[in-house]
Amino acid sequence: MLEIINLHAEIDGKKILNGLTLTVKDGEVAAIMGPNGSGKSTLSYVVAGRSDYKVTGGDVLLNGQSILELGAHERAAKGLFLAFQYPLEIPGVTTMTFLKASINAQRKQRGEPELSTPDFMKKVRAAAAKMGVKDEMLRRPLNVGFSGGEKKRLEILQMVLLEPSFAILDETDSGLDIDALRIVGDGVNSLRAKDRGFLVITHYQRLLDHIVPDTVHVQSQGRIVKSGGPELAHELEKNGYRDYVAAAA
Amino acid sequence: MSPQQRESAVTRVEAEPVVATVSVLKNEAELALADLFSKKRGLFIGSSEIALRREAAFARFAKSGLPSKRVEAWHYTDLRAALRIPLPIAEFPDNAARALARPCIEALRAADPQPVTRFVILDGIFDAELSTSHMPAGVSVTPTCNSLIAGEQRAVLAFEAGGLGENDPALNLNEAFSVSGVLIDIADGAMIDQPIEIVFLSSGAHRHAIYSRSSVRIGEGAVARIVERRCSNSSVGIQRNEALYLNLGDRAIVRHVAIAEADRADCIDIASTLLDLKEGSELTSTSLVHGGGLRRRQIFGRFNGPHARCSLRGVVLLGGKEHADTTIVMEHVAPNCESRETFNHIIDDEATGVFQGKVSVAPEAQKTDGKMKSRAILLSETASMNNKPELEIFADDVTCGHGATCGSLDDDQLFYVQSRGLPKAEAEALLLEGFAGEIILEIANEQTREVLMDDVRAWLSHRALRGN
Repeated sequence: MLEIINLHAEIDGKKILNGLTLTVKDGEVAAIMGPNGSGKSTLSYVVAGRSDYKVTGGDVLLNGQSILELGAHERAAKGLFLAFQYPLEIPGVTTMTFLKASINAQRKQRGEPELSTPDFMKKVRAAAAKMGVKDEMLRRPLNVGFSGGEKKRLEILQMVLLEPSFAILDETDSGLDIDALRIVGDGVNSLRAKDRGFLVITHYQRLLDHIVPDTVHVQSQGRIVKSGGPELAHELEKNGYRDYVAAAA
Repeated sequence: MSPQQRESAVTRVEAEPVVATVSVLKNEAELALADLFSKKRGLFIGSSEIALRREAAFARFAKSGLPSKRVEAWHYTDLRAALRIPLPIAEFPDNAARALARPCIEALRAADPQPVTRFVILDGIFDAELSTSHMPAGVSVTPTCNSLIAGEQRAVLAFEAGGLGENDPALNLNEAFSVSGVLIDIADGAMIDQPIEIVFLSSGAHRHAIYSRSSVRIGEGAVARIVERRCSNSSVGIQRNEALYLNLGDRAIVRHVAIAEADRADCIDIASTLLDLKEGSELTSTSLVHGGGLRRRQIFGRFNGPHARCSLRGVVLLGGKEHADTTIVMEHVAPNCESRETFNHIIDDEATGVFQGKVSVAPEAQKTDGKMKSRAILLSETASMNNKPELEIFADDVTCGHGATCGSLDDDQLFYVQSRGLPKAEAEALLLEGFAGEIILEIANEQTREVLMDDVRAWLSHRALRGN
């Protein structure tokens, strides 16, 4: 469960989050929608622990425990995962090496033994096949020269392998064609479980056709201005964000 | 540019050798070197032709003096300031030197058990006992000193080295003072699968100056793998100045790996590699260079025939107060050749990296394709990098470019890796490993690749330990 309580955050003295409050329960898929500049990506960065954002008030609890004092890697080991809007290219590090380093870094922090190479390979191959990620891609440097769709698929593959207890998907639909959207949607749906929550950040309704949310929230000017069920997404698709931008101002 | 202008521009460049702008006032080191040369000149081995070459080389050196900051080609590596007292020239290795050298060679065998044909230049002198005795078919070898004594033409060729780098003061000293090294010949059409490794080893038995001159002739259409390894066992500061001439015949293909192990802070190490590329030949070179007190790796290459290709790639790892300079001059004098230089530096603490790459294209070298890229990651506020890419183009139909970057690790990449569970230090190490890997993973031979990556990982984990 993720609880964001009256969260205030800024970067370079500029306030981005202004008392944002949101709870996503275990098993719940919550969607955050909102216009450009409403601080959606900032929210994902702040929760994931990016250090150049300064939290000036409020708290974030993961499974009942405050994570604001933890580094990004510690939050990851506690089960938080962020699928990036723009996944980074890591030249010179093969995807396979990166995946193994990530999994074992988390296991080490949790006091679990490292995965053996054969166990790891088995796990990766099975997950990759499901995500339509070819072996050849796993041998290439992570995200280097990958298409937008391939990068997003790799994000979901990482999520499947790291088995987080809470995942944030930051505009995972951007840059995806219809087929890739379905694969990504299936990947997320396959992980839906009663002990796992999701926060899906998106501009558009179309991702939510594949990943049907339990709750939909509208973010504007750094806080949640409206919450509802899946029907809210349809309403936004039809009417736009204008009313909410005005409401927040 | 009109043809006349081009012509005059070329003439101007040739008329002004790079080293011509130094003061004539000799310092103590230069006087000592002149004294040493005049005492030794009658005693050097070699034919009269070699003797004349030594005289001419020393005369060029005497004219230029030791290069200081004021010499453009040595601007970032002030040899004049570093070499205050020239050490006596190394004698023939004694038992003490041998005893120190043997474990080094054994360690090399243990680190990389794949079979190699190994030639050891111990303190500047070819050492048959430490070298492989059984040659693969198509490979023949002569110590440089034997060839000099016998007055062979191939010794002259090795000293002449196609005139490459003849205005470089360090190389002139090398030509004046070298009496040994190894001359390797790979027969035309030979396919040599087993790597040929030349180990330049300094035993550390004595405090001295080491000069050596070696060459490898790779015959027409021959294929070979060559490893150039510089190791130092020194417990004392020494001065090294060693040169290797790689002479590729038409359509020869060479995969070259150069490794320079870390050296002491009080050592001066100048390694010159001279590349002579004939028609259709291909050289792919990957290097992994650690630092030293003053280390300079200089490569002088020339495309002497059309359709030749040369790719020089390298990783340089520096920490402490180390200094390493990579200076490359590639001359395109034939058309349709391709040159690539790609260097990645990782620099920590107060270390200094230098990359100078010059691609010059003569008027007749049309369709030249030359690209240069140097990137550096600085890991501390006090680390520094000097990048100087240079293009000198006198042909009008060429594709040439260069790029140089210098900066710290990328924050976005760091956060990305940390968000996957890696603590900051491990995330940094992974990114740095990748930065080195971009260069090293291009090596075709998997075992060599892994040996070099292990070397990088060891350096990174050593760095992490120092940080704690």
